Amino acid sequence: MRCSRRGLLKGGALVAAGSFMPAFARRALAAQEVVAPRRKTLVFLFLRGALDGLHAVTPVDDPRFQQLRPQLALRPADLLDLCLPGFNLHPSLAGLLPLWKACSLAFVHAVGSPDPTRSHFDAQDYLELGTPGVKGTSDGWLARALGETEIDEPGPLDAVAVSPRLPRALQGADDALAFASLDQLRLHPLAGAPRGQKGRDQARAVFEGLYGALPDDEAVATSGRQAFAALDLLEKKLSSAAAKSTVEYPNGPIANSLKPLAQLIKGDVGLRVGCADAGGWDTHVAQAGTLNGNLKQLGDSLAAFMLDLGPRAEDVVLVAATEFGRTARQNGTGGTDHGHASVALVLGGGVQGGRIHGAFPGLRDDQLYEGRDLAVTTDLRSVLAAAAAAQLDATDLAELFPGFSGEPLAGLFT
Amino acid sequence: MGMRTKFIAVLLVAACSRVARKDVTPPLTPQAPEAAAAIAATPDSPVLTRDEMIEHVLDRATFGPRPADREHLRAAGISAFLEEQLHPEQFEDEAVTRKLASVEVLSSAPDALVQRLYIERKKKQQEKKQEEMLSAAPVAPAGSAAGSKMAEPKARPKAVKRDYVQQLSQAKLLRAVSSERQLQEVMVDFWFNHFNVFSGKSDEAALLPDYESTALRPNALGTFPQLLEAVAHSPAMLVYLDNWRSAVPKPKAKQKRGLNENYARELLELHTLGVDGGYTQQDVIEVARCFTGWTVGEPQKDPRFVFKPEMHDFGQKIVLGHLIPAGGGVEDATTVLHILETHPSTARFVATKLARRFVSDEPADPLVRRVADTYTATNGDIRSMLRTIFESAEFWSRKALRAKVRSPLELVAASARALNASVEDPLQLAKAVGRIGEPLYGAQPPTGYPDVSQAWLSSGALLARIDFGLALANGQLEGVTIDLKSIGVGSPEQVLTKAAATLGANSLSDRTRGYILDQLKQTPQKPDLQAARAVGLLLGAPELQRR
Repeated sequence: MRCSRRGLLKGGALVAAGSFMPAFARRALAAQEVVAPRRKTLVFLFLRGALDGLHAVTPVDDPRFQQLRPQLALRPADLLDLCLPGFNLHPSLAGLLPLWKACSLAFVHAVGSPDPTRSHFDAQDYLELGTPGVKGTSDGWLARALGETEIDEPGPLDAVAVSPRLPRALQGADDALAFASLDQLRLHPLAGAPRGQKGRDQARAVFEGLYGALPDDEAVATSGRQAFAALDLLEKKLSSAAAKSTVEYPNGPIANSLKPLAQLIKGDVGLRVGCADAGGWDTHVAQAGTLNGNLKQLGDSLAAFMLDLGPRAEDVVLVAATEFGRTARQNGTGGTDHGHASVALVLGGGVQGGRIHGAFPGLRDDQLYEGRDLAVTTDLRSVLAAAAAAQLDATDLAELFPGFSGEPLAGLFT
Repeated sequence: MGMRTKFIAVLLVAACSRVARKDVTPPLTPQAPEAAAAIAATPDSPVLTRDEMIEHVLDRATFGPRPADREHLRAAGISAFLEEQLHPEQFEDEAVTRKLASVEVLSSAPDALVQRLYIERKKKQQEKKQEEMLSAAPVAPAGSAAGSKMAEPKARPKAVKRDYVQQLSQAKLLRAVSSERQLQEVMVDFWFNHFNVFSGKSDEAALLPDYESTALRPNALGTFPQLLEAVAHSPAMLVYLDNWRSAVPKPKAKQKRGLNENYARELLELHTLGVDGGYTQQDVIEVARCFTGWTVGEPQKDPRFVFKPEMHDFGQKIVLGHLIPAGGGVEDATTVLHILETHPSTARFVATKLARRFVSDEPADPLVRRVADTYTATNGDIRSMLRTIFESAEFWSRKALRAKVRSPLELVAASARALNASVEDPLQLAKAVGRIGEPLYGAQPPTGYPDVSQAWLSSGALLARIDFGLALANGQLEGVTIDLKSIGVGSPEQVLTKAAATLGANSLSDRTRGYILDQLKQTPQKPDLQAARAVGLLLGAPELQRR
């Protein structure tokens, strides 16, 4: 399809507005805001459970598709037109169409891991470690990506995961912060101390002192020190006007984890990597209904996130990917089982959007992986490598993905 | 509850009543722990003191020491204490049993719980229908505000499910805090994560009480094969990993159905052999074929294990090189379970996980080998494997001391136990566990919650830990009362010493101690304030996050 960013602006929307902001306005904003420098950010949204890529971005012209999924395949008339031959979009992802038309959204189809495992946990591990087939890797790929480039002013909110625990992808990034919600970070006042903010601040200061007094080799103390530094910065920044959101997000876990990331990006806390998680893709049974709901959540949440970022969307790239795809055939229970290749979504500034990247290998029996799954034609690491290069200047592939002999996916970014 | 279900409930209770099982290995000798500690000592890491040993064993074999436990161990001896805990059927647990009597889901049969959900769902559907008819009627004012609000019926089935899970969570906290059968409850938690089932899937909330009380608890210190078989037959697992719908494909049948590999894969990867245990994708398929027909009567009405021959694949299968001839029925899967139970990879995998829980995140290979050997020699006797751990030098080495970061459940239970908290509303404790990062019965993946320190050390979770300690010490957790009178007596030094001893914080670093002491000196010298601050600061200190 032909892409026009102006088309998007005419449509009343969002993304490229930053580049049209007068210079004086941008300077004014900057003067008021800057503690940490305005940085590029990479957001990774992990669709855990194995998203059925064929259900989301459907190869309508492949004659085998209907045969493989007689009940599951939607009628072509019900799918959304992507203005390109061969593929249509699931109707629940309608929220993404404006981004697609503005060329801020790309899909990478038949993407996945060279490792044959169909175990969620192995495949999730491999993806997060960035070393398919090797479980012993001690740090996550995002931690390595962060470590590759020295930055001028490292801060406590350079890497944030909106999740109760640090995801494997960030393990080894000493400064990464994980929290499920901002409320999780507030403390009760000490006994007998004043109630309210004053008491809470006092409690924080006291514990900050306690953790600060302890030696570096104690892992718990180190975690604690980071937590307090992060809290300081959060409170400073999240109250700023620019961080407030006027955008309405859908209710649900995807939006709930993307919204704080948008707040942090707009608050200029120096966020370089954001992680979010969205489960519920393991659709062994009656998947049509489940995916109607989940894909709508996904599409609407991503659209709200990009809209919320406003001019800052130019500085952000979000990659949404899953551990593997699902069987090309529907199973006996109206669902699909663990498979091989799936689809990834890449959106944000600098993305060559409005396109489906990667080669689609076809669905004939001899084209399917092990005669049952969509074959992998693009290693997900090429996608991640391209995103890490674009957003984090992390270009040393041997460091980023040890043992990977491929290249960053060409043409994914301008 | 109707007469029939009441009767079943009684039967269930009777079925899981305790029968003393014969020991297959001799009890720990009276001096076994001390001897192991002596072997573990090196010039660089001197032998553990008796107090350290007592603290350590209470930290590992229970949810944390209560003040009285230390006295008990000093009098009875460590070995005798462990043997006592290894035989929970030999003593009563009256106090907690009384408290649990009011937890409805524990005395309800799974069919009653499931049927209540079914009825709620039907009601909701009917209401929805009625509202649709009402809003379609011409007399209804079009687009009235009231009308559009009514269109959103109350999510009652969801509320019922939430209530079930909350009741279960309360029971879990009551047991962790107050049960005398501490090691048994530690093991129930351990096995729950090993054989995880997520409460949010389907009607699992209604199946979990039965799963925990009939499949897991009676076998928690039994044999691994019996435990595995109980889990394999449990409606909760059959539903969670979809086996109940897995059937031999019949292309022309009216109802769509087919093979589902989900349970077969996790059975091999997570329940028995481990991911590197030496199986192939073909083995997964063959195991799935063996398990076809292992299903539940009717998940929404009659959730009990049944074998349905019409779903079973009667063809020949080859599992891990073993031929399972054509024509077999329900016993195909039983054969698979036997193959797995006696497989050396299972011994190794179970041994590794036990050693990780009780000793350290990366347990030493010789220890794992010895525990695996015990598995093999005793056909998977869990008590015997635990004995191997409890008499190992690895367990009693200085390196193992406070090597584990407490999971959120362990932290919350240990704090309540140390302070002898009176828990009127265990839900408040359960919610705290969730805030710190471990929503109970809420682990979605079949791996359950992790058992390694790194997983629990995120900054946000750490702040939640500190906050829990403050709320508990301040008496701000509703329904959880602590009495700090005995701690608040004397000078700040005395208060701190007493608080630290109560909380088992005898390994405080000088810096932590000095810092907290300074804080207490700056605090008004009122006994209750001194005590609450000392406890609040200690509970949030790094040392107290470990066991």
